[in-house]
Amino acid sequence: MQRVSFAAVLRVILTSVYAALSVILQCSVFPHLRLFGVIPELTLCAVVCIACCEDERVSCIIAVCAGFLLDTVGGDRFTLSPFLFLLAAALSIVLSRLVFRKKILPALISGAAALTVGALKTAVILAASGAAFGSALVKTALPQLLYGTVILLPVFLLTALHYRIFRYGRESKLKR
Amino acid sequence: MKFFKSKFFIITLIVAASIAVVFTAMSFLGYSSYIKTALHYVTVPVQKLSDAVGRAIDGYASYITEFDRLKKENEELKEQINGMIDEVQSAQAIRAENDELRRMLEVKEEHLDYKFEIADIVGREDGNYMTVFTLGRGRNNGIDRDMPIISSNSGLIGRITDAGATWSKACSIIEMNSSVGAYVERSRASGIVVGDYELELLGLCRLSYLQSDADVAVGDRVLTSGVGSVYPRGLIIGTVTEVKYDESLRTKYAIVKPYAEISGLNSITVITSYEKYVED
Repeated sequence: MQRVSFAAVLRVILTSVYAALSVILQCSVFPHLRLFGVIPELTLCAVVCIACCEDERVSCIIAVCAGFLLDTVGGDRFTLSPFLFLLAAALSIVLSRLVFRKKILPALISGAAALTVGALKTAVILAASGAAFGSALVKTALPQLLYGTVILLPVFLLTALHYRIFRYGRESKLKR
Repeated sequence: MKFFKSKFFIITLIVAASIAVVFTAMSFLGYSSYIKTALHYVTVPVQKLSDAVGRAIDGYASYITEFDRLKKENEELKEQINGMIDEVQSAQAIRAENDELRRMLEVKEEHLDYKFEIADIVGREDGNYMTVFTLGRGRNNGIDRDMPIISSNSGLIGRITDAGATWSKACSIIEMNSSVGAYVERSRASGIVVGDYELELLGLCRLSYLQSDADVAVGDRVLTSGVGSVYPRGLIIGTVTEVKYDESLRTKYAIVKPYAEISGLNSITVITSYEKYVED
């Protein structure tokens, strides 16, 4: 049986807390920090960035759980986030493992793609609820995409720092 | 990539898709899942805490963005209140509180059949297409699904959409999916107050399905008609700010400004019991 180190378990636990925290922030703090009248997809950004740095299996589980938690806490009638977040994480995994060596580009590309899909989802739901699609696209979906893109880089830097601490700890241990 | 062909990924994908379909369908069929209810017990206390943080941040943010305006206003106010003493200020505060309580009492006296439960708003999940209030009281306090909620000035806010033992969720009347049977107080012209995407952004709603010759004018008060099973008759919805004619449907409609100040609420009143209105 494969031995799992304490540091790896701690890393997964802290990453889960990090994802849960992003959900809580998106639902309670960010509504007070609206730009253009919308709330950014903070959790989606966090999920994408985590998928670039974390193990594939852990990333997928975190993506599904974070999506479910977000829809539950947010009181959303639609529970589409677990599926969309999983797809976003999968895209991030593919880009970071197969296409690019550095982690920042896959995080930004898959993040932008996921945010676009998220914004379109919002526009479609608004249109299905009776709003004009064009109006929903311009007044809500586009600002949502822009705001999400603005916070994507800081979220990536924060996630990278989170993993850097673990890597630094492991390297210094090996040196000793 | 091997991972995407692995059993693990395929199972996770199926689970995620199943969650999306099952929970969305359950939500639309009106069933609140046990898992969601259980999760709320854990998340509501955390939400209370983080919402307090959010409010504090909100206060600081508005302080920075409106600094110039506030500074100017402050100078004007300083001139205005020159000569005023602290007792007068505290007396004003007491009077304001007294007025609010009196308004509540008036509502109670006016509607003897009403039973109230006052609840604090502990969370405000402003989605990009829906705003849900989380209240700190639930079934243990007699609050249940589809109960109407009003503000302290007895203006209709909306209704309870979901309730657990210690929490409940509520939606306002300006939401797109909302509809309330209504009539114009002066002329008795009846219609339905519905949420509208464009108007929701402005904090307004629409009185639709009016007859083409309906007598509606700007300034008219719009009240609940009591038709349907959620809202009692006679609650103030708002005042008409604009009257328009729909060429395609050949009906009139009016833009209504809600009487209750929906955006700045901290607590609301739930009408837990009332006598149903029976049409003659």
